[in-house]
Amino acid sequence: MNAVKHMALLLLILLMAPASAEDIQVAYAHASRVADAWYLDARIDFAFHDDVTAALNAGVDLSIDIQILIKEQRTWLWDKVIKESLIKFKLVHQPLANLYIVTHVSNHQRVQFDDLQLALRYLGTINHHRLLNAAMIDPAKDYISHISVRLNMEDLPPALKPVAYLSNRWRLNSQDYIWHFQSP
Amino acid sequence: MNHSGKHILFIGILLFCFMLFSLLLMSDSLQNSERFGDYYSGLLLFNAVGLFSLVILIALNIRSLLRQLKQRIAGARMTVRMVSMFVLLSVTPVLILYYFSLDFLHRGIDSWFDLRVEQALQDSLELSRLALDTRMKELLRQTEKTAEELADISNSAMAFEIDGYRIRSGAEEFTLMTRQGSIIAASTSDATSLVPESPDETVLFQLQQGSSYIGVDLIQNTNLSIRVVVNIPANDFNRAERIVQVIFPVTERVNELTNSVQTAFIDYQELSYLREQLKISFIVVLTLVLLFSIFSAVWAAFYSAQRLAEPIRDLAEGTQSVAEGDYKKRLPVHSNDELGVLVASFNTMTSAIGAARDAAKASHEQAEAQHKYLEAILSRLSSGVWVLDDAKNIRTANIRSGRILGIAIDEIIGHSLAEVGTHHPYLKSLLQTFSGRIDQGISDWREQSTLIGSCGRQILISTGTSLTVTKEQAAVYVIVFDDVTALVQSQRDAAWTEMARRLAHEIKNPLTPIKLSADRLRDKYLTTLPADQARMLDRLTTTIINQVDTMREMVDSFSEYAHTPTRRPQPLDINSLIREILDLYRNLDPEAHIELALTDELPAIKADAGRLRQVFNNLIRNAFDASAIRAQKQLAIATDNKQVAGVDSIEIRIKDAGCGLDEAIIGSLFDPYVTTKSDGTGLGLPIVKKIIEEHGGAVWLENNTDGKGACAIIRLPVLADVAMARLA
Repeated sequence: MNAVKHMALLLLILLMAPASAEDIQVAYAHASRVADAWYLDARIDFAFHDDVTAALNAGVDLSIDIQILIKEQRTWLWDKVIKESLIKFKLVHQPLANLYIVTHVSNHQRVQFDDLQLALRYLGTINHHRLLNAAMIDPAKDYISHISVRLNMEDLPPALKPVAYLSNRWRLNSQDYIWHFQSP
Repeated sequence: MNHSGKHILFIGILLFCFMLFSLLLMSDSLQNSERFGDYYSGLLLFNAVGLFSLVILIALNIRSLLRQLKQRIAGARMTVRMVSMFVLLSVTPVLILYYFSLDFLHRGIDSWFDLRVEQALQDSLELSRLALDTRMKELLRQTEKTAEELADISNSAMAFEIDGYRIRSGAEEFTLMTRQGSIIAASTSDATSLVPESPDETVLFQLQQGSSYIGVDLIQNTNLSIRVVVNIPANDFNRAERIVQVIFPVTERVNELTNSVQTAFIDYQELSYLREQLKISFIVVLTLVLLFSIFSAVWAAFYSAQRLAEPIRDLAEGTQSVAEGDYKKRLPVHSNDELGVLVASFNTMTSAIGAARDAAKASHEQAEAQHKYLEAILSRLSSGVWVLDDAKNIRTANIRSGRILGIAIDEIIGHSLAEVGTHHPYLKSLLQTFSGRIDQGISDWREQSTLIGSCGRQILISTGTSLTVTKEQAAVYVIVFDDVTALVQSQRDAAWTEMARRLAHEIKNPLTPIKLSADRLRDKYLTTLPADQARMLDRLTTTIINQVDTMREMVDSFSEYAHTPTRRPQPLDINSLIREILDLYRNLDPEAHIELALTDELPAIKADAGRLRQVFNNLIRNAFDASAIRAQKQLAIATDNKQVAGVDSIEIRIKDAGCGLDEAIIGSLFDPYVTTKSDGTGLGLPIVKKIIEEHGGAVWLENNTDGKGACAIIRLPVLADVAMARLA
């Protein structure tokens, strides 16, 4: 009966947990053309819930996915995706040195921080990220860009997945940040 | 099993296997298996969908079962019982197992965690930190000492000296840079590293504040490194603010130990953190297994119960078909077990019954044909035929029998003789004769009966015989009767005609010479003989002549009796005829008192008016003669409409006021030559009887109840045209 009580209590807590719309927020994003390429500058604010922080400190690795979509706007048809980028970061905690290590998954670049906030600030700062070649952009057409950030729950430990899927505290998704691609 | 059943079974087994496999994968993924961990959510979803599919299958089965129950389809109740039993037998142990598994699960997972182990891991980690701290402090002092030495070396000279410093200090990387992070000179043991790692802003800021930095570095590789960054003191030669960053490697053994401690600590800490989630996940998997087991068991119970009930349902439908007369229905034999044998036996039985039914039908048709053949023969017989069973119920009666007796055969078939007698009272005497003969056990008998019914007076010759078809079957009686009225009448007519002819020949012919002879004797000797002899001769010849006349009259009467004139029946009003005859008698004797009580609404009958006039003349004359003993002759004549023995009749009563009749001869007065009158021929009443019988009626005499005189009663049936035609 304890198990049933535990499950019922957990489900109740999970379902009654307040939504966390402000956990991840894209503060701004901007693309600029330098020479023959477009580069992205953006700032993302992370505010993890205590449960997420506690899990991180307890050794649970967190995967952060930043998805960028560039679409060509069309009048009569659906917008055409001309570029889709995914920037994946992994945030882990090293208890021995009490460090937070951010790993850029694509190039395995690692950056360590003594403080979680510094690590999150690093995560949320995108400077001069190459988006696409300038040739892919037709100045005569309109383009919009979407950027969204989320915690990849599939990378969580299996035992944590059901809870993460059910709990608002773990549903860390930013709203789509949309801006117009403007030629200089 | 039909195709849809095989498909359902195949889909069910496939679903079962997939779900079982996915549950195994889920269980495996919970053991931190990297191989399946990525599919955990998908497996969870798949299992949920699988369970939902099972629920739908069960719901469909329940709906189907409820519909069968509502429609009272055979086997539905048995299916319910079997499903209930299967579910009870399967779910109960599974629930018990689930309960104890949950308990063991909690205890098992909790047993993984021990405060002492946790504390030991904490201590190990702390020990590792202390060991690293000690080493880091030494390296900091060493680097600070080196920095003091570097204060006297210019930037340009440093390019030549820096390798030596790195080697002497045992560092991996030795970098001289400005406080803003610009590299002045650098030396590294890693030939592949072209650019040394710069400290981040926080470290530079810390140095700008005058503090040194020392920390564990995980950036370069997976092995630990110790990064030391210190300010180089300024002197007269080098005013520029410089810093030196030295990265020291940690020994491989220390690396192994710290890595081991850290990995164990992280794993334990993660496991400890995920303890509740792990429990929940295991409970979810266990619950899925439970639900999967229960739903599978329920579905299997439905499937098995329906499969078990299917042959029984088939048997019930087959029985229903047989009850409805369909012996051609063949049930599918699904299996070789006892139920299959039962179904095969049922098929064999229905085949046998069908064949027997066909044979019986053919036999019945043959019997029916024979029956029709017999009926055709019977219907064309001139005799009436009845077949009676042992209980004297009429089983068969031909059309002719109904015509002879004046009844509808449909009303008597299936009824006993007693019942027929009740409904047709005028047949009672005849039926009692039949019944009596049957009761006497006489196998063959012959009887003549007189019947007065709707067809008037009939003479029937009946013959009966008992038949025993089989030993088991009760005896049946066949009675054949013929209406011989016309035959008897014609025989009688022929007899009297013959007698009249003989009388005419033997008696009437000699009378004339006798009378002529007597006349000649009288004429010749009456005048010649003496007076006394003449008187004697006169008396004797007169006697002879009178007696001859009397005999002539008698012979004439007899001849008249024997003569059967052709009857001319026509509608006749009896009352009018009686009034007409009485007018004559009133003229003859105006003093006579005649009391008339004629019923006005008499039905018209068809009769020969002349013949009936003769009847009434005879009877009224007899009544006048009988009443002659009184000073005033008294007669009473009445007509009435009577229903006698179910036959409409007209009854005429002619009552006199004489001295009545002797009871000893009252029954034979209608026989020829029986008379109470001194001058009677004894043929009046026989002629009356003959005429009345010719009209299908009856006549008899009885003394009046008041003791004065007698009464002649005539009963004439209101005959149907057919009967009248036959009589005519």
